[in-house]
Amino acid sequence: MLRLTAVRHFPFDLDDARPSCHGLAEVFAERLAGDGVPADPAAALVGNRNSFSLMSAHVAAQLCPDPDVVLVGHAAHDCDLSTSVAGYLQQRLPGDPLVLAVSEQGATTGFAALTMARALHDTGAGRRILVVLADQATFTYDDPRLSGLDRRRDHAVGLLFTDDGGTPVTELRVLAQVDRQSLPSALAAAAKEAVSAPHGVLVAGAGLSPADTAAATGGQVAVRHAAADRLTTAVWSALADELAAPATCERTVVAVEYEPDLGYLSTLALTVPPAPTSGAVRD
Amino acid sequence: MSATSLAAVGSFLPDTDVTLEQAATVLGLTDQELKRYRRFFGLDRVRWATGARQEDLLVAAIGQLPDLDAYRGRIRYAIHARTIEPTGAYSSQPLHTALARTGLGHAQAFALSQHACSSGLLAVDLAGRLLDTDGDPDALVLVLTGEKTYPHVARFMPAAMVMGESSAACLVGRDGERDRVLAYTTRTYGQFNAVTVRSGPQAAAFEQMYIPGLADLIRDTVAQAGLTLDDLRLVLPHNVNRISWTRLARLLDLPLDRLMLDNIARTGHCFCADPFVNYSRARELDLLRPGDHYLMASVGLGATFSAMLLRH
Repeated sequence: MLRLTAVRHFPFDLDDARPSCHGLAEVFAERLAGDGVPADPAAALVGNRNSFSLMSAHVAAQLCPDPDVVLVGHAAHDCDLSTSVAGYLQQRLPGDPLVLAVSEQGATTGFAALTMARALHDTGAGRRILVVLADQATFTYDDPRLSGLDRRRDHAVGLLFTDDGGTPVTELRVLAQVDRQSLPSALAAAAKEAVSAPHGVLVAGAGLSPADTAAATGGQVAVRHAAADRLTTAVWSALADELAAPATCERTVVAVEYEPDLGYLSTLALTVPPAPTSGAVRD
Repeated sequence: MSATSLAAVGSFLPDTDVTLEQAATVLGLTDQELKRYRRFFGLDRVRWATGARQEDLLVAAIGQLPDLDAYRGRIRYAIHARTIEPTGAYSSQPLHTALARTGLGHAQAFALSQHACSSGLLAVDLAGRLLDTDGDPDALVLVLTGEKTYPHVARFMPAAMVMGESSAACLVGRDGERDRVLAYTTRTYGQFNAVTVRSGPQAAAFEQMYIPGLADLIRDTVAQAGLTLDDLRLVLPHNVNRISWTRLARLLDLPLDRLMLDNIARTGHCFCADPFVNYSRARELDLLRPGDHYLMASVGLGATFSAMLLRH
């Protein structure tokens, strides 16, 4: 069973000491031509220059300097395609950590990464598993699904799982082929653990509206809605905020995200011990 | 852990056969590079799926799986193992489109990367781990490999600038009778994390350690399975070039006919798909008999070396 030890949101401002992302516009111009998406190879890039390598190294330094496994989850591309994230981290971290990345599941990519983390943990691949979910805002093309993103900052959320973590993951579920029609019943089932608990909280991702969650919970639990300005990290930073809040009794916290374009509904349920003065699993 | 096994493998070789000279024109290779690739690297031609999109390569590979209909309902996960992380338009989602087109939309799907061209072997290992924790003994994972190539890939992959677009689909199960995984080893040399470095001390250091490093990894993988190199019937390499494999065979004292090098000149290096495309070719040529041990090996820029030992 995965046990959460720490979860923390790391915002990254513009790092103008770093060079801009050389070559990225050219790469995307080539790649997007086949999709009929215009991208100017000579366009000046606007972004914050925080690559997945840099963000992951920073998160590791803060949460777990000696992980056995680092799993990077991202919904969109990196701003630096010239650096191997695996190599970069392997060079900087002690031991011989396994580093890999999971992507291409949109807003629910973090849940896919956790599914992989659970498989690695349960099959003995490591006792300290660090999941780094990352959103960076350097895009060389326009896409309707990227509108409304926070372009001023990049974001990462680190989740550290260790054998002695105080917050057990009681459920991790990824459902595919959930369309708008089947969402209400699927969401009600996903929220059930929070609804039936004495002290339940639902942390809902941006794919779910207040009306969706109200219908699913019948107003019986507290609901915290994530920001809508990030692709895959928002629900996890909302979870970090929730777990950092003082609580005098044990809570059942369920994080849930819906990816409408791909039809994924994903759920993570945690049993969170009391933390009277400060969050038990912030870091 | 129960034993990971390959239930089925299908490979797609695009129809368009492109000579090295034709590819050189598209990619902007110099005459000198062209000569070097042909004479020393053993490259001759590649297969390109002109006009096809990424999703088409995946659909074509899935279409090559034998008995797909019999397996379809058991496929619980689909992983696209990628050399280069997804770099298409965010809305395009080729993996999910390919699965929907082939009646596999029910599978939980995601892409896996950061082991570059050895991400395919990583995906097989992780597929076994996913199945071990899944609870359904009949569940399968579909591992997909193969990518579109573009001129900029030449800048990322100086060791093998002419890439092919062949793709493969591999169904991974547990405790199957065929093609059981006996050992898997992966090693990342982080000092080579700058993947576009083509010259200078770093490039020279990588070149110097490449063959000894790969040889060590192969020896360790074989030993991990309790075997010796003499037990290997076949090595299914990544199709990066002929010269490095020839030198490696010499270093390991492996007869050259134990290396399946046919596809280097025929398909070229096809990102993560090589070991699987080579497996299909070995089966076509009837090179594997029941009980034979064989080894898949790949090296990815960044630099990750991986090897997987299986029993047919």
